[in-house]
Amino acid sequence: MSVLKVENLKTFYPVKGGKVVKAVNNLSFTLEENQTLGIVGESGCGKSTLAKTLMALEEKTAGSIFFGGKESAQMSLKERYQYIQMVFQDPLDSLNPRKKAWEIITDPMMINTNASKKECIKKASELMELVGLRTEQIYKYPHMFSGGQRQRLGIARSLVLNPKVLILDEPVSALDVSIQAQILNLLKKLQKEMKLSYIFISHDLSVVNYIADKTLVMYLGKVSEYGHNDQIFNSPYHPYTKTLLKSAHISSSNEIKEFPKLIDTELPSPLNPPSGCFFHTRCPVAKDECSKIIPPVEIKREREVSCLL
Amino acid sequence: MNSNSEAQNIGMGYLLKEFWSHFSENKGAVFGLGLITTFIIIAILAPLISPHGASEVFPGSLRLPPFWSEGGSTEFLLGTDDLGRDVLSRLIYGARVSLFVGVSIVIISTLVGTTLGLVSGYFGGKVDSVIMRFIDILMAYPSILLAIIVVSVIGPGMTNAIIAVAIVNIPSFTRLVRANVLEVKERQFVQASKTFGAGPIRIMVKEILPNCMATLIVQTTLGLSEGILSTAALGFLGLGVQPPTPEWGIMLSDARPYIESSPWLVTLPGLCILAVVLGLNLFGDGLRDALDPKLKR
Repeated sequence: MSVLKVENLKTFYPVKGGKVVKAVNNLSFTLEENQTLGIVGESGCGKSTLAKTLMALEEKTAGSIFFGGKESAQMSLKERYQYIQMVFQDPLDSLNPRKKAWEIITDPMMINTNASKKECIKKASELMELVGLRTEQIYKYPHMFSGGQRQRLGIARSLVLNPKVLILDEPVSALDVSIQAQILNLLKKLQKEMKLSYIFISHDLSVVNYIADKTLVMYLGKVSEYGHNDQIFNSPYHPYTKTLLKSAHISSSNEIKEFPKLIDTELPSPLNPPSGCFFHTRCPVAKDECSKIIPPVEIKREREVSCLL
Repeated sequence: MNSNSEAQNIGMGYLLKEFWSHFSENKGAVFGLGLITTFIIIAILAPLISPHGASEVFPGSLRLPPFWSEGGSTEFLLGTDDLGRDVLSRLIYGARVSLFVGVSIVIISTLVGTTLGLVSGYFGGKVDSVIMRFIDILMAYPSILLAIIVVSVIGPGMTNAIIAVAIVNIPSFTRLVRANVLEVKERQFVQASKTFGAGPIRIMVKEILPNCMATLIVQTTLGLSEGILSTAALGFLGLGVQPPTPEWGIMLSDARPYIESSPWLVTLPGLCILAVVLGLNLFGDGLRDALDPKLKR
């Protein structure tokens, strides 16, 4: 059974002048147990809004989210937070500089359970060991840790309530490449040991290729292509996926290398999305009908694609 | 064993030591701290160290100069005032009054100002507008004028002077805390605490407030000096603490007619006010530098 299922999720923000930003627009996907779903897209495509909506930091406009078969509306926030937790992008900014390591890690525990200080410290040292930090560091403050260690603290904090699903919002993009690999391997190890499921949000395709089982490519809040990793990375269908892969220089296939460049490098304003297919203004292989017809999400070559071609 | 002792080292003592090493680099701040500590000790030990009672009158020795001038006597080290009271004793007891009044003012204005600032900054919107317009009204008046207005409404006296000056001091705390909250609440750790279910009060008190502490402590020391200064001003105008309470502001105003014939009567209380205010300001500046975690190496 899937641990997380999202159906036709929409998160819209009203803006001044009666307009609406459709940050997440009709997104559907499922996350299986012990698997990783990569979510890829440019800045501003709605990745972080999706994460915030799943964490109830933003209210969804429409659609449904199922946590292990239970609809989000039937769950209290407390239940939800014990099911799904989040690791933030900036490891320094996501840790309160005035709290010690053990307080940071066990904050969720202090809020949601009646654990005593002693239990909290014990739990904190267990978790610090688990994520590869020395337990004698539990009385240190965040600024005394290095970047990679801070992200380990963030991961330890997200695990304290024993969640089933972790949302990793660009967890390595603020780190050095050598540290990135350590953190990714730690995440893989934890996934195996604790049977975790991940939603891995990133703009770095090579990282997603390494860690994810399935990948969802987003464009202006909509799904462009969604399928298993080998399909997305080895035989992409959507022209947007192809241009992303081309710019990331990670594909060895000639089709990708010779694929034409994006026409317009600017992402269109989400306030005024283009007509028809949102991508047609930048698509190097667009046809006339692309600007008129909104492409439905269809299964083509064993993956979900939203493209008329 | 080993890990335990290392853990102990990073406790309170370690932090104090670290704070002191940053703080003591600033010589002016250490001087300020010394000045304040001296005044606090004097205030606490007033009955023990003052040679005479604060209101004790010596009719035989009116306006005696300090002992080093001609005509002075060692019985009255800093001379006597126009009613024959010992100036040194009055100054010593005056330190008590000034510090008590200053601390009361700061406690009231910090509590009220910080709460208003936290609520205003965190909730924003209409709550913010209402609170900030109220603060704007307070700020539209010159501070001493506002204090005079408040005192003339509720009447003169020590308690009322404290209330009046506390009200005058509220806006600086509110604005400072609000600006800090606006900055801190957008940071990821505040978002993070929401994702594990922290409520607004917990977020305000446990997440945001500790991160405003550095600026708040600095503002508190500066507010203390401002409070002491304003109370002295009110006392000088006859609207604050009432005679015969030995208050530096009143001593200044009482001595005004004798400024030419007995200059020590105005100089000495003036110097006391100057020293305390200077000490607090130097100390506050030093605190600001030492408490900023970003400046720590």
